[in-house]
Amino acid sequence: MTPDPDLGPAPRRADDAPARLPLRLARAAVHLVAPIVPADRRAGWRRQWEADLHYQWAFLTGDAAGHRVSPARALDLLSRAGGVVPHALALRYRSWTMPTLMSDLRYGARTLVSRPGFAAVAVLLLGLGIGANATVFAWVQNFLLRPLPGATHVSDVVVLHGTTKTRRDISMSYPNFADLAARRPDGVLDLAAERFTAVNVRTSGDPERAWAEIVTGEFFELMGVQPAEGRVLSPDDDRTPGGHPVTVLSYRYWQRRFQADPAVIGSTLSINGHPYTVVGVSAPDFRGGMPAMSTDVFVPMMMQASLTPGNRLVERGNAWLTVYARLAPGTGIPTAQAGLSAVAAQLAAEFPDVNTDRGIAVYPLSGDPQSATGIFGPVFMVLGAVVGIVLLIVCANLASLLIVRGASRQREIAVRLALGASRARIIRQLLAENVLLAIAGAAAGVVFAVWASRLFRGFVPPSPLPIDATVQLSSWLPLFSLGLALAATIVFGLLPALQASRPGLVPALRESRGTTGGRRRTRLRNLLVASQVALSALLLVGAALFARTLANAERFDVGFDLDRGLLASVDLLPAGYDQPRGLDLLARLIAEVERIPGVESAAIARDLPLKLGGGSDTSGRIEGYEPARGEEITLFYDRVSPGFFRTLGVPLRDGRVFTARDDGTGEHAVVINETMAKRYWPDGKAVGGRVWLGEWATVIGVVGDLTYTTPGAAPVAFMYLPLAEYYRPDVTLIVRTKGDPDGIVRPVRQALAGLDPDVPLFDVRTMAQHRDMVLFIPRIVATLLGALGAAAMVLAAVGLYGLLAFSVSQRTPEIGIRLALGAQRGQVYRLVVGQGLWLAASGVAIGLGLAALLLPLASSQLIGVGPRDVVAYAAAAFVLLGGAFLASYLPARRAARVDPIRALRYE
Amino acid sequence: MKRGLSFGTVAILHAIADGKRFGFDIMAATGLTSGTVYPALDRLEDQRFVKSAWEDARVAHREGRPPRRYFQLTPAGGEVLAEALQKYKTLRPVTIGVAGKGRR
Repeated sequence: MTPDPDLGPAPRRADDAPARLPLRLARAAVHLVAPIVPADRRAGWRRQWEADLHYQWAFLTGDAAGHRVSPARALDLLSRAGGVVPHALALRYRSWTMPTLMSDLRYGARTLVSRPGFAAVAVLLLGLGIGANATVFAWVQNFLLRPLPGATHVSDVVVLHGTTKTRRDISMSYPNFADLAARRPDGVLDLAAERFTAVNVRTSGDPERAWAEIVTGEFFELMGVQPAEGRVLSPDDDRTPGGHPVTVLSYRYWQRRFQADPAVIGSTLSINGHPYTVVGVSAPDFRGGMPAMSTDVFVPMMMQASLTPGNRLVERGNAWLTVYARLAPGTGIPTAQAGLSAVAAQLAAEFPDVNTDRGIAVYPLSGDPQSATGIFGPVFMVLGAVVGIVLLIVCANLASLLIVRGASRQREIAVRLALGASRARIIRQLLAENVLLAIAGAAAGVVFAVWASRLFRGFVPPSPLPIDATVQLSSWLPLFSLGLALAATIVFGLLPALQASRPGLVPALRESRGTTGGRRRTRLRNLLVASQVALSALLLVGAALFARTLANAERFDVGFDLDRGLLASVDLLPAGYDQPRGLDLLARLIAEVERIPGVESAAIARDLPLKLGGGSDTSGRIEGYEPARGEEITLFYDRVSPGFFRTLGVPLRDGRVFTARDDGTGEHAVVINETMAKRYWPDGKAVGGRVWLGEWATVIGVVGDLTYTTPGAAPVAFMYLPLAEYYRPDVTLIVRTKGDPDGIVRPVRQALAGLDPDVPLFDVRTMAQHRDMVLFIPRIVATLLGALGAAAMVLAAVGLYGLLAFSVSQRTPEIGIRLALGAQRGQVYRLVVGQGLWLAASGVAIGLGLAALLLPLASSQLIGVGPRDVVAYAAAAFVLLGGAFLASYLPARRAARVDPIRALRYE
Repeated sequence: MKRGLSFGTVAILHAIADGKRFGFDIMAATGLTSGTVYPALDRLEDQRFVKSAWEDARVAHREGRPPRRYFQLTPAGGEVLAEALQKYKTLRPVTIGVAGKGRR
């Protein structure tokens, strides 16, 4: 019921203080917030709130004896009193949006134009800081936030991976997928599966290596992808095995390969030697179902047998698919996870031989551990941290500039204060200028980002996969830039504005040149310069550590010769080879290549040492080795031809290596590395031991360790299986040369073309180039930290120079007096340079401390150097102090040249 | 300047027209929070849709409480309220249909 104000219960004048506590608190809030309200309305505002609170209090306590109110009522009063904050803010806001804001902005624009030098430097600085951040923002948005452009349902789509006891990111078999889709777990609208694979496409002329996605019929509808031409694939295209030779081209492939010719719809092209009819082209933005990859053609799942080996549509144990699920609206990942786990449990019970201990894990698209997005994750983290630091340095520099500017405008401000302007009014005026700077700086930042976002190509790891490095800029970019610029200028402009508007009328109006600058102002600028130096030190130490990492990695003994090797990949599957024909071709290829002059030996391997993602692994059993509780024996392995060890120069420690007779017809043979031998046969009798790999294989030899992943990584247990027994059609040819490997690329190509012109040779690279792939992340980080660290150092030096130059000009009379009293020029030098070096040294000390604290986080990426490496820290300190010396030298020289007579005449 | 009034603003005008004369009463009648009602009252006063007056200090003093700020509708305020109410009246009751479970 609402009380009538006129007839409401009369309040009593009781002073029992504890009972009135809620009212007191509410009044205190009014009192506290009142300063926010513009002065002309403040008194009325207070009276209104006090009266209303009083009335409400009276109403609440009206019928309660002794004014005791229940906590609920007290809370009611307090929550009503909470309205004072928005009310006060609304009044304040309205007083700002009045015409004064426009005039502030106009005045600000005029003052900025009258000092074009200051404005240009400030805008460029901001543009650099904002631009660097906007660039990283554009990348993150492209590769993490919008992983599948062109797919309109993507916000509801999640990725499903199979799980084992130890892993949560394995693929799924087709029969398991089909059962999952048929049982439609709770919360899941639809399921689709896809597999990314290399194919040979031929229209007319030479075959071309292209990338296909084998997709189930629901794929396009689940993703919400429309056709640009013709139609996309539907469930009707995916009913009978081998019965739907149709394909959809990606928009880019259509443009690149067919010049966007609409007549291609309905025509036939050959994929891996099988004719397919083109039925459509997918939407322009759609790159395919693999985040950050670019697909060329889409093929129905039922055509699997012509694209990948085996009949994978019926093998429940053959896990090869990535599965996507579209969740029902409002369904969260936990709900979907519960439903999927229930189905996984059913499947484990029905097919215990392959599904025991198998589960399903749900991931959001941007968190897919298997996709290329995962590769970019760490790169983005480093990038984000570094550009954030650059922005901080820029802001510190900007704040320094604004302080100097405030100091030089002190007279103007003092006049305005004397004429009756309020301090708030002056601050608002100064901030309006900052807003203009922010707008211009954001514009400069966007221009910078548009240019720099193309540099992303440099951040893509070299990889045989078709990683798509094109960055699409969104309309969020200018918004992000403007928001960041406004936040930066307002936060960092507030302190200088507060200082500049500090009322100190009389001295300012007299415009006497004090003997020292305002002490507070100087202290703040010192702090800003020192923190710039500190942040630069952090970046430079990081740069030095990664530079040392690169140098170490290049010298690192990886177990084989890097200088005289050539690598080239072949894939026999698209060309239609089965195992016997494939092995025969590879054997003849090795023989042909070994006949080339300048070639010492050649071999074939499935995986290569020094591989970014590691190689293949399997869980196994070892005869006579009792694993500890919970220990799972994970064995990394490679499949190699007999000449592998000779070609890479891997030393044989015991037993023998493979010969042509190790082809699985006799005893199953395996060669292991020293680490594996020591680990599982500590008695040294590895040769003759047996490993269970689905059947027992006998260890015939032990070879030296190689570096399988990054240089410097701990050696792992590794074994080699004969390629002749464990055949794979997609392999790499390794050639060891007598001299420079570049000269034999053509003869190797000719050798393969002579054997079969339909098999393309791809990813031709030298061993050293291959090694550089694993050094990709250290190299990027070193380059980035080096470049930005240098930029940061220049900024800090400029900041230091500005500070000292300003201080010297302020102290000219003091220096004049010193010189007149007999001070030597050298002492004046020392005075100024000493001030600069002292500031820089304290900044360096803080920066090195920060580095010692933060850089251990990056330990895993460092090779042969600790995160607190003395050399790196000393180098950074030396470079920074050198820069600081140069920055202080020029002002010091000016100070030393002060003419005492002229300096003193001003007083 | 003529602008469409938000539903909250119309509710406040309606409450004042209904005889609720100051802040907390209007809150109780509209169910809006103090953070909405008070700024809205100031805005309405700037737009001259309501006017406010301080109650006679002597009356308040006699009753042992601070004087209150009372709000009243202006003729212009009465007009926009009538107009807005007319507009809401065109929303006739309908059978309420909600989004179905279609897949597209």
